[in-house]
Amino acid sequence: MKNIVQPLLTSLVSASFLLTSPALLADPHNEKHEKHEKHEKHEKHEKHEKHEKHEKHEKHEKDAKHQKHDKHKEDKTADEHEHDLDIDFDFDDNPRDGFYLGLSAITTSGDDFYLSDHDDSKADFDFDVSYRVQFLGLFVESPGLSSRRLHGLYATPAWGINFFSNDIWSLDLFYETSTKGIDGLEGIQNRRKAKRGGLRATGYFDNSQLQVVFTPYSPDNAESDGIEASLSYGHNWQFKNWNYYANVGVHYRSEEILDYSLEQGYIQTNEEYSSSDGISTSAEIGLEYPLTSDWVFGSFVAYRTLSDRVEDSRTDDVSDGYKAGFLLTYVF
Amino acid sequence: MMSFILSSLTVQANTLKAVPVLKINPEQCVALLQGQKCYVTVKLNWRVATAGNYCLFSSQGTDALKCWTQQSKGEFKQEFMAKTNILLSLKQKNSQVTLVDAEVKMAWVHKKKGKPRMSWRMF
Repeated sequence: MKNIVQPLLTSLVSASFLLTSPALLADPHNEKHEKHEKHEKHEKHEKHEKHEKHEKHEKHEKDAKHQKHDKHKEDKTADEHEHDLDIDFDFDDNPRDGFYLGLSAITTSGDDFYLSDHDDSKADFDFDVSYRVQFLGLFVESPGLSSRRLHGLYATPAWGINFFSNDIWSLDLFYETSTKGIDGLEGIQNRRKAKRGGLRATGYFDNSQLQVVFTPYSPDNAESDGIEASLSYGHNWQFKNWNYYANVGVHYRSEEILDYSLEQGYIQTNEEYSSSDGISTSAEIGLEYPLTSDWVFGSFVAYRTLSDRVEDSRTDDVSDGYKAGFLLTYVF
Repeated sequence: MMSFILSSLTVQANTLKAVPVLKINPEQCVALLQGQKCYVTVKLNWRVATAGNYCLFSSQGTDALKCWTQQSKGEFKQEFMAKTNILLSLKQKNSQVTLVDAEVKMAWVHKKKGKPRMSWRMF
């Protein structure tokens, strides 16, 4: 499958680029190659250092820059020990540059805030495409249930620029392309009228992930832009090859931001409901199991509370809801 | 002519029989994240030409996983936990020479720390 798909993707993105898949990284020859490469680099590095002592200051600065480049190449090699050819064109230092595409079949059951009786007990089936493409720091993405560990809990479809990235922190300036949210959780997501833009900081730790999102900008909000902010944290555990995760988050929306009704769409009279700011909370638990290096089985339960202001705007007494489901994902 | 073909086939069969064989299943261990511990129960079959004392070793340790006495074939099953490829090798008892080996390769779905699965490369 990969043999068919990779050339196809390659031709779609650009004839000049190759995609390197981690599924290929298991080849033991790659490990040997990596060691060999590092050994060679080490020898070169030693010679380089001796040579440096006899060089002028100007040359020294040039070499230092070169050394930094070598260090970066070595760091990259640790992750990308599959090389199609020896020549590696280094676009920049951004470790988030790359490509992710996941296709998921999702079945869910649970509540739906947007139905009059709030109860959506029949099973829903969705086909979700989640992706993130980043090149030279510029990205476009559409998060899904299968890509929580890449996109975070409150991410929405967006484009933007990843202006800072190191081994742990990633900072994005982004603008939403849709307010729809992600497939599988539509019924319990707090939607709003207008798209927003802002700043997002995501910390990727060994077994956890912290994300702060702050959006002060909205081009088509009714009056002032308002402020929306969220804080979410996710933690992963492993038992054998099963992976368990728990995500919790809190979300703030200021008074100026208008909510969205899925039944009615946005209507002017809804504005009166936005009489105060509001805070909602989220929690998810789930598990994932890798069937192969491409196929992943997953299951989840998601819980959301509605903010006070949304509760006030409703004619029923609904204050929270849940969704549970299963998903089967193919990761390219 | 027929006897030549038959004798030729017999020689080929004997040659194949003489080659030590070590088969493992599965050949790959898949973890969800790069760098995670990967758990795999490996079933192994081996066969050699002549009966003798043989031991099975893994790259995870120096002690033999199992030894067989006066056998020309054997089976083995064990769960392994690893972060790197596991090399399983069959040696004659009290010998350092590997007769045959096979490798369980490590694979993963996602790269660690939110990095994209595929990286751009230019040729």
